[in-house]
Amino acid sequence: MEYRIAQVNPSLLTYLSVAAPMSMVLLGEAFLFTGNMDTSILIHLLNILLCVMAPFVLRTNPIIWQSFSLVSMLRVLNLGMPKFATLTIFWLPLVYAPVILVAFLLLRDETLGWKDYLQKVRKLFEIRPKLSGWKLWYLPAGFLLSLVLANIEFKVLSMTIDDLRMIPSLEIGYIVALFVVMVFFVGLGEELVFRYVLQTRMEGVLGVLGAIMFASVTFAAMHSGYQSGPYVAYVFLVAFLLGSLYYKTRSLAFVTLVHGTLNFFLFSFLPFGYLVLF
Amino acid sequence: MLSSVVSTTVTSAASSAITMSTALGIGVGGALVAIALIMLLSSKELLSSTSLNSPKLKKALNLAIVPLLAVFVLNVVFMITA
Repeated sequence: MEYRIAQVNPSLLTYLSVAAPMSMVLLGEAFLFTGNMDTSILIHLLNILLCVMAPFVLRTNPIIWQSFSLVSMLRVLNLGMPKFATLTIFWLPLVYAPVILVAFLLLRDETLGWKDYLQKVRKLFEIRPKLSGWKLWYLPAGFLLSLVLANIEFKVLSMTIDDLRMIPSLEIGYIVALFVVMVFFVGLGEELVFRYVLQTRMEGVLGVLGAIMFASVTFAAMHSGYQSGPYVAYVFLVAFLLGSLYYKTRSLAFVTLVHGTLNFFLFSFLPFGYLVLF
Repeated sequence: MLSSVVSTTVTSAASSAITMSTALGIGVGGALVAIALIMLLSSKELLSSTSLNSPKLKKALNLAIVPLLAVFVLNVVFMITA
């Protein structure tokens, strides 16, 4: 995948490429926070149209616009996708798989063919400590960090939601399904959009701290669906931590693991009374 | 997880945030998605004969069209099968 930050001189148009779509995202999420889903999806769809057309009409660099288009697309898929199954965990892949696909198409190196990608996939299964972007200590560190964060999130979210279980029981089949969905769909999809694409691309315009801050604000705002102010504030802190970890490690796999396992603990063991630390 | 579970039949604040199970149903804003899709597809056709036309623009349009098309098609499939 392409991993290059465009060195652009921050100009008025460049700042506009952050301010305009981000304002639309925040407005759309404000409507969702108040429960107005139709207006929210309308604003996100308008933002997608804006993000697609604006860089070509204004003849400016499209990389930031494209990043915010992905953010709005995530919400449109979340709101617009039909429910074929009653269990939520079987519906979530329908929301996140298209986002992961679009992010891949956006980032892929067009000089490589499918055979090259297949070779890269094969390399992922070779167990080597120096696998690109991955270190062995990330595994225990990721699990421990996510467990602590999940415990705090559980306390915050329990203030507004009584039952956080996403699986009917702790049977192995449900646990495996929830883990796969949370890590390989939810975690990967959200980290791809907010850290790998949005934060990385904004670094060229806003600097490292500004990029982490703005990506975290966007990520927190995108949790308006829970309609809880304290929860949105907590998500901002978690996003800032994930953004900082991503900047330090440059490992998408690590932040995906932390994010995915955080959600896994939050919606599986903790609501059943297991792994409660405090 | 930013995806809140929303349903046309579940509207209360707490239950719309996250639930283990959800009512089967089509998504929110199906008509709006269809209109946006038509606008993007017609823009792709119209812009192909203007000075703005470029492979980058086509790619940008396709990246927006593909997921919206998925939402539209799956909603249609749901309505047919229901």
